[in-house]
Parts: sequence; structure tokens; C-alpha cells
Amino acid sequence: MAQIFSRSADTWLRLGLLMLFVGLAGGLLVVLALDRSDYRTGRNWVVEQPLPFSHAHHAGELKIDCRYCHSSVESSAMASLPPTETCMTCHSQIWKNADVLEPLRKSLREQQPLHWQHVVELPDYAYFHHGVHVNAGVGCSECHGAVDRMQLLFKAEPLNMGQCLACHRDPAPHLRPVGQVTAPQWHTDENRRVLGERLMKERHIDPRGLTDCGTCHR
Amino acid sequence: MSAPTVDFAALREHLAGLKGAAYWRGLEALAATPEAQALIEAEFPGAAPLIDRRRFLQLMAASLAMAGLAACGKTPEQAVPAVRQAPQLTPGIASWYATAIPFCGIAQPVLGKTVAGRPIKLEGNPQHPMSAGTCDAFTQAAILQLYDPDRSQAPRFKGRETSWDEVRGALARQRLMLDTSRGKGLHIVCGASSSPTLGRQLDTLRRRWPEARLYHAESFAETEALRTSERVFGQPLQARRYLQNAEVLVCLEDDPLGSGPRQTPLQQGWAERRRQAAQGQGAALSFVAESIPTLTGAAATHRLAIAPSRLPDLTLALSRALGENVADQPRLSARQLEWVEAAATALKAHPGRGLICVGMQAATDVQAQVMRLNQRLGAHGQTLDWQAPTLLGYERGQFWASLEQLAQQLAAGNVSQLLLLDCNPLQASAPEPGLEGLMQKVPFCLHAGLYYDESAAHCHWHVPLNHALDGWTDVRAADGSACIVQPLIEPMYSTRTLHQLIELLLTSADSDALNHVRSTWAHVAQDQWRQALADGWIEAAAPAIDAPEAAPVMLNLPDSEGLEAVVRADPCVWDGRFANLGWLQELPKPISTLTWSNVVGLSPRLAEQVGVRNGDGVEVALPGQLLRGAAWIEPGQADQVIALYAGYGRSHAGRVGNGLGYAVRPIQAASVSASVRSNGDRHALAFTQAHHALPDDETPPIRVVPRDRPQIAVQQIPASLYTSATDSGPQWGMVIDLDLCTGCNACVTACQAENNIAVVGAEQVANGRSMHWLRIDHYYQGSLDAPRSRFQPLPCMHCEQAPCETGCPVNATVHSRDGLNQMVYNRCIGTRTCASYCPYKVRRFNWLDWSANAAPSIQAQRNPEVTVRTRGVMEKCTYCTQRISAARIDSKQRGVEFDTTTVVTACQQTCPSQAIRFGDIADPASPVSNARRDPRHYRLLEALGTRPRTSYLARIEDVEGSDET
Repeated sequence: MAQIFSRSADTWLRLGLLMLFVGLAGGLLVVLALDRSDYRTGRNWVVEQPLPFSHAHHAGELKIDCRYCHSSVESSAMASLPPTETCMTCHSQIWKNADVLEPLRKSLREQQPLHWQHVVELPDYAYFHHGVHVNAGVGCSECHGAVDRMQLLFKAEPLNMGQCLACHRDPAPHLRPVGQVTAPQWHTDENRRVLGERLMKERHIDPRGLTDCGTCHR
Repeated sequence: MSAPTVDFAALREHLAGLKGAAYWRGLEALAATPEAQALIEAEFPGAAPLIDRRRFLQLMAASLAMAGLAACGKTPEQAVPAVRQAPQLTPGIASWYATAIPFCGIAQPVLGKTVAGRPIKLEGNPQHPMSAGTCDAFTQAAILQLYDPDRSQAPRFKGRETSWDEVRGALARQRLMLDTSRGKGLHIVCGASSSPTLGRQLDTLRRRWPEARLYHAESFAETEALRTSERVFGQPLQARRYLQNAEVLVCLEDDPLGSGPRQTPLQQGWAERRRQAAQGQGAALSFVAESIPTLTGAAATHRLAIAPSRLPDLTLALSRALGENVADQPRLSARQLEWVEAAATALKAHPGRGLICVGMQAATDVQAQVMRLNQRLGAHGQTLDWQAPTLLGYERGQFWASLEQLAQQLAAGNVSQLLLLDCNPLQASAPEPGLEGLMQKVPFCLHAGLYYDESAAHCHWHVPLNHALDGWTDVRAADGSACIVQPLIEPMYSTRTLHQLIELLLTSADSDALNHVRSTWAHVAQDQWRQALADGWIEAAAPAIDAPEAAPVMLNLPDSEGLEAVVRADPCVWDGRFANLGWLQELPKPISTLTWSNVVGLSPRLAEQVGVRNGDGVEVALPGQLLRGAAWIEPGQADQVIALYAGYGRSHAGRVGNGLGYAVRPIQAASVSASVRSNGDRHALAFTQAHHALPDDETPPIRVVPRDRPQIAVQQIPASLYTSATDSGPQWGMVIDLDLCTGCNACVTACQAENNIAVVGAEQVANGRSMHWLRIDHYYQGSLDAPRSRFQPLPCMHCEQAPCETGCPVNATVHSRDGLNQMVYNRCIGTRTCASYCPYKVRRFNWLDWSANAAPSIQAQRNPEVTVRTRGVMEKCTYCTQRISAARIDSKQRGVEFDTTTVVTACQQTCPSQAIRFGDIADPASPVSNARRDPRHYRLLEALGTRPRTSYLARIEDVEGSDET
């Protein structure tokens, strides 16, 4: 009887299966890589804003404290953005006719708020509370990067769940004294872990409940 | 082929043969029909759908079309700060304001929580004694009414939208005519109100136009009671009852624990008495004689089912037993006399600590006699005292007129201007037949209200009023104290307050809403005014008035033959004013567990006589009314009584409330003679009785212990091979005291408001898919004709060894370190394994996306701290994890130790009985730990070894056996 399958049919089949397996695995790896990529997390992508506000100038050169504008960061879940009036505390006196600040003056004139675009956007099912982190000693730049050196704002860290968990599992290396939370370019000569563990003991920070799902997802 | 009927004889035999504490959930379950079995056994019962297949496919297509692909891709989010941030408002932190919600003219003092400028939740005002931090279901649902998209948003002239300038012009023209006629022809109809500002304005109006007439239009008004007190005491007086002092409470056709404007303080007082009695300080006996099953009857120690026409005889017998000199013989059965003897003996054994309550619809001589009896019993100053009427229109000798008198004036053509202020006489009140027709002849007719309702549709002009939460007014509470109603948000639509409207009529001036109220209290200094706004009241409770001795009353004993109909306010929508609130439509009515419809209540014997079962259509004929509705068998109802519930059958309620049930006009009497017959229709009713039934267990779900030995035998819990999941830190637990729970549904509504729980509609409720995280299971116990009713609130048990956690294939439900069974919505893929593993049936699945298509204003009410769930995820009670989180974060921010007593769940906070205790069971001094050590403490389905954190305290019973008929 004539052979239906050639001699190399087995090889082709095995090759095909191998390619399928490699393809699927490779596809999975691609998806996982994409998921962590800057494309997906938005890291290092500058987000267009109604005004080209420069943190490097205000926070870096002028050394304005983060809390002057983000005033509710110590007490509330939201860090909050400054109302137009906060900007006008200075800009009603200086640069008051600059073209670049026209949207700001328009906002005050027409009593219409500015619509800023979120740079850091957490999904709705993740509940993040700024106040408890700031009061625990997590510095602003831990998550937001060196904002005082950014002309236009971008995400410096991926801020995906893996990053949150890394700290929640082991907070010590990420803590600093509460008074230094907003200090730009803060550093210490002490070993971060040693310092962190001392701070945790002082402030009774118990990491054991931090990895409960319901801490952030409720 | 005849329709299947209920075999009552077999049911009675079955029940008589049961031993012990046999609980049954309803006739279908009892009859063990195949449908009932399917409902009981399935976690997600699929009852016969109320909609046919074609309509179902249409609905599915519509919801798919609207769902869209919104989840794919990133939706850019914007952050929009204010232009000027008010210094006392921090973004992300809620602000609380004290205000009050008027209900039937009586203030419900509340604290309103606002977030980002939107009110999202109401809680009782802890500083006001009439709420003491709690409130009832209607008050919890008031927040939804603020955001009701069907609220009237603009003035209308003959149905078409117009402007306030037009209204001003029309009122100016009428004002000229009224100034000439000195008000002759002006007839003003008001809903019940106790507003001092409104009183002041109406006084001004009457001084200017002395011929103007005022009328009451309130369906279940207190007019008869006030008229009686005027007759008896020489001046109209309003009662204040102190149930905490009433060791013996006798209710004659009265329902103090049921829904109504005084439910919160009365229920609090009753619960306080029960708490005292449980500690051995006095008795807590209640003797309730009622025609239809109510919450007070369910909580009674001795219940008597009796027709309202027998009430005068009952009062006569009670008077004689209490030593009054009565000549007539009451016509009562031996059982009824026995009840009377027991009540009288108890009253005499507790001098000064008894109270007789009588329904406000009862005949005037019955009410008068009860006033005298209370006086003779020494109730004054202890369980009862009198105050000047808080409600407007009840001044001595000059009560406002009734709607019957308005009809006469209309018929005589004396009405030139008719104003309907915050009332709906064409739907709710009891007009003479043909009020709509009579109103056609009136040259100028204006309706002012929250909705463009049935009365507005028959008026020339309609103007929209502010809701209590977005307008300034004032109102008196049940104890006579005056509360300022301050708005929590700018007026949502182009509305005015009632005070602004009256000012517009008097002067055409656009006035400031706040100024009207401030002028009424101009004698109060500014800093005291601000303090009053912060506290929630501006004038303390009025002192009691000494009532002169009441003369004995000759009771008129009417003959009664045949059936009588009673008309009651619906426990969920009252007289229909809440008909458009989805939360209240979906709330299972306390004893029948019906939703989305009203029914004609019949006792089992009467139903057998008429030949109907649950859902069969019946026709009821009353004087002047003929209605068709669905029959419902109410075990425990008096046999000659047909129970009718107002508030349904509406045509202009809004998208939620239209076209549900049947319409009945309230009667101004305790009962009228009526007839009922089957008409062959079949109605589909959505009720939750058989849903989520617990599996059979050796021990009954509700445990009852006798008063003299209030303890439950300690059960040996099987040892567990599992390690304990939780080791340190606060451990949350909850204990619900069944001795205090009345089944009022306040906790269910509070949970719905706090946790963004969706409303699913009648079809889905019939399928067992209602989304209430906390449900109140109702059980009957005893015979078919005279059972006891028992209530058991059932939230998630948060089992330490939770079967649901074992079942979930994706770990979407996990156990936290502080003992909570947590639900992670973003992980859930909707296998529903957890629900099938849960023996308590507390898990709810989102079969459809019930939240996405809500109107934008409804979305504004949602709590931002709680995820809004979409299709395909499981949800359940979380012990208000957002509140636990907020309290823990607050303690961390302040650097103090976590004070676990500051965490209060929504259900715990609102319960007027304070039946729910929640807290840290690892702290031996916490209230919940104390409750767990109580001898009455038990857990549900203990033998399964789930180790639930939610547990119960058994109910204490004073007498054995069921009630008498």
C-alpha cells in the first residue's frame, strides 16, 4: 500500500509542535514583558498639561515644599492639586502678564478650574491613601522620583502592583524620618535597612497586615 | 382545569404535629411544592421568569449595546481642583453637617456626610435625643430622594416647562385680586408641617388676607387624636411616649415599632426597656391587639388578632377590668376576655409603669377612653406626657379644615385660588370622589412639590420645591425641639423653598432662603445660631403640659357583620411619597418579604373561604372604591379583615414607581365594611421569603430562651484541625441581639446606602437575585392561624474557617489578619464556587451590570470609598471594611494606638434598637466581647465548624406558646 505520510512527516510534526510551544511561550513572555514595559506603565512619558508647569523650577530652584501646593497629602487619601488661587499667591505679583500663564489667569477670571491630566493613575479598584504613607515616613520621591529635577512631569517609577508589594513586604529600606518626607534629594549615611527598622520600631509599624488583599483592594 | 389551591387543612395538621421550635418561612416552603424546593435548595434559584423570552433577549441586547468596550484602553482621567478651595474643606476628607429630614411634619435629626460637595450618607444625629445617632429606613433613603432624576426640575404651566419669571407674574396678578377680596376665594392645602417659619409666614398671610382658608392634606394624619385631646383636655395636646419606662405596654390597633415619623425614638425606648429587663430591672411586657400583623405584634408577649370594629368592646372590657364603672357588656369571646384580663392584671401590677397606646385612626371615643385610662394608671409623667401640638394647623378651636370640606367649597364654586403646598391630595389623601373634576372649575390652581405628581398634573401651575437636603427650613422633632434644616448642597435644580414661594406670592421679591429661617429665629444671637447649626437643634424640647382630669367616656359599640377593610401606610413607601425610590421598593416588607408591589392581605381562613392562594387576583369593594390586586395570605391576620396598603398604583411617581400594585385611597376611620372575591387573574409577585434559606440543622436558626432562665446550653464545638488564621492585632466580630431586633429594615437600607448596593428590579428579585448584603430573614413559628414572627438579620458570618475561601479557584476571597473575610473584586472571575460553598447563603452575584446605567445624579450618591461592582463579580458584606480602614489609617496618622471602639458599621450605627454590636473580640473589655460571654450567645450552624465571627444573642420570651386569636 502507498505511504500516506512521507518519512519526514514525523519531523515536521515535531517541529510544528515545538514551534507551537515556543510560539505560545514566547507569546506569553512578550505579553508579560509588555505588561511591565514603559509603554504600558507610562513611565518616562511626559503627559501634556494645560500649562507647562515646571517642578524643576518651583520645587527644585525655588525650593517650594511639596505641601505648599499638594496641601492635603498629610491628612487625606488624595494629595490634591493646588487650586488656582494657590498659583495666584505668587503669580498675581510676579510673571503676572506672561503669555505662558494665560490659562491660569483665564481660570481665575472666568472662575473655571484648570483641567490637569493625571500623570499617575491608579485603577479604580486600588485604593491608595497618601496620608498614611507620608505619616509612616515614605518619602515623596520614593514613588514619584526626583520631581524636583523634572522640567515637565513624568512617572519615574512604574507604580504597578509589584512595586507596591515589594515595599509592603519589606518597608524598612524605603522609610525615612517623617520630617524629611518632602525633602528633595534626601540621603543618609546610615544603612537604610538599619534606619528603616529603627523607624518602624519607633512608630509601631507592623508589616504583617500590609499584604492582606483588602488593605488596598476593597 | 382548575388552578392548584392550597390545602389548608393539611398544612394545619402538619404544623400541629411539629414538635419543638419548628420554624417555617412561608406557605410555599411549608407546602413543600416543587417550586419551593427548588428555591430552597439552589443558591441561585431560577424561578419562572416574570418576563417572557422575547423581552428578555431585548433587555440583554440593550444592556450589551450600552456596555460597550469602555474597559479596553486607557480612559484619560483629569484632575480638576477648585479655583478657590474653602479652607475648612480638605479634598478627600468628608465633612459632616447637622440637619434634619422632615417626615410627616416631624424632624428626623441627622448628620449628613458630604464628600467633594456631594452629600452621600445620612446618619442619626448622636446629640439629639430623638435620634441618639440612629435613624430609620425612610431617613436613610432620603438621600436617594435628593438625587432622584425624576424630581421636578423646573416650573410648569399646563404641563409645559416655563420660567420662574412667569410664575412671579402669575402670582402677582393673583395677589392683586386677593388684596381686593381680602383673601376670599384663596384656599391653601398643606401637607403636615411643623415648621415655625412656615407658621410665621402663614400668620402673615392670614393677617393680610383674613378670608383665606387652610386645609390639611396628610394621608395618615393625627387629626383625630388631636381633636379628641381637645375634647378631653380642653386644648389640643400631642402625646410624647416614653417606652423605656413602660414595663407594661398595651397597644390597641397601634404600631409604635412600625414605620412612621416617630419610629426611631419609640423603638429606642422599647429597646432600652428590653435591655433593662434582660438585666433583671423590671419587666418588658407588651399586650398587642391588632387586626393585621405588624412589627409591634411580632415583638409582643401577648398578641391578639382582632377586627377593628371590636376595638370599642375591647376598650370597654379593659376599662372594666381596670376598675372603671361601665354598664355595657362587651361582646367578646372567651379568648379575647382572657387577653384583656392578662393585660389588666399586668397593668395593675406595675402602677405608674404602664402605657396604653391606641391607633390614631381609631374612633374618637376609644381614643378618649384610652386617654382617661392612661391618666388613671398614673402614666402621666412616667410613660406619657403631653405637649402643645408641634404640627401646624391644630390651634385650639381653629383646626385647619379637611379635604372633605375643601370638596364642599369646590362644589359650591367658592374657590378662586387653590394652592397645594407640598402635598399630593389627588393620589394619597382621601378626597371625596371627583376631586379632580371639581378642581377643573378653579380659575387658578398651583401645586408646589418635589415631583410633578398626580396633583401637579391636574393643576395649572406647578413649581418645584427644594428637598430637605438642598434647601433651608426648620422643623420640630417628636419631643417638640426645633431643628434647623440646613442644605448640604446647592439647590440641584431650579427650585425654591416653600418659604421663598410664599414670599413670592406675598411680595414678588426674590428672597434668600436662609434669611427666612434666620428671621424666624432673629431673637437668637449669631454665635448661638452657629452653635445651633453645628448641634442640630435651636430650641430644646418643650416642657410637659399638665393635663386636666379626663372625664369617663361613653363608648359607642358599633355592630359589625361581615368583612372589614383596613387601609395602612405601606411599610416601605408610606403613602406613596417614596414610590420612586428603588431602595425602598426593593426593600422586603418586614413580615411578608414582598417587594415592588402591594397586596391584598387575607388571613388563611379568609383566603380559604375566597378560594385564593398567594398571587391570585382579587377584587375588593369598599364604599366609593373598587380595586383589583394580588391576594397574599397573612398568617396571624384577623379573619374578618382585609388588609389594604396605600402608596401604590401610582401614575405620576416616576420611572421607578409607576404602575406598581393597586391604588387605594386611605379611609379616615379604623376600618370600613368591604367585600372581596376572586377574579381569576394571576399576578407574579416578587418576594424573598424562600430565598437563601439555611440548610437544615438540628438547632433552629432563631433561639428563644425563657425569661427566668436566659441561657443556652453550651454546645461542644468540634475541635478543628486547621490552625487559627489570625494571631494578633484587633479581631473583628459582631453580635446581633435578637431580643432587640424588631425587623424594621433600617440596617438593610443603611447598608445599601453605604456600600453602593444596586437595585435589581422585580424580575430579578423573583429570581432570587436581590443584592442586599445584609438581609433580614423572617420566620414564622407556631400554628398557621396564629404564629409568632421572628426576625434575624444575616450579614456575612466572616467565618474563621470559611468554606468560600477554600472554594475560590483564583483566591479572590481571602482571610485578613484581623479576621475579615475579604472580597477582592478585581480578582474574581465569577465561577460562583464561593456562593455554592457558603452554608449561610450570604454571597451575592452580579448577574448583570446593574450599576452602569444609573442616572448621573444617582451615581453622585455613591460612596467613593467602596468599589462599584460590575457584571460578573461576587460581593458580600465586608464588615464595612472601608470604615475599619479609615479608622486604622486615622490612628496611624495621629500616631496613636488604634481605638477599635471608634469603628462602627453602617448597620450598627443606624439600628434604633442598637441590636448590633461590633468590635474587637480580642479585647476582653469591648462590648462585643461582653456579648460573646453572655449566656444567651450562640452561633448559626455551629456544627459545621465554620466558626463564624457573626453571632447572635437569643431572644427572651416571657410566656410559652403562641398568641391567641
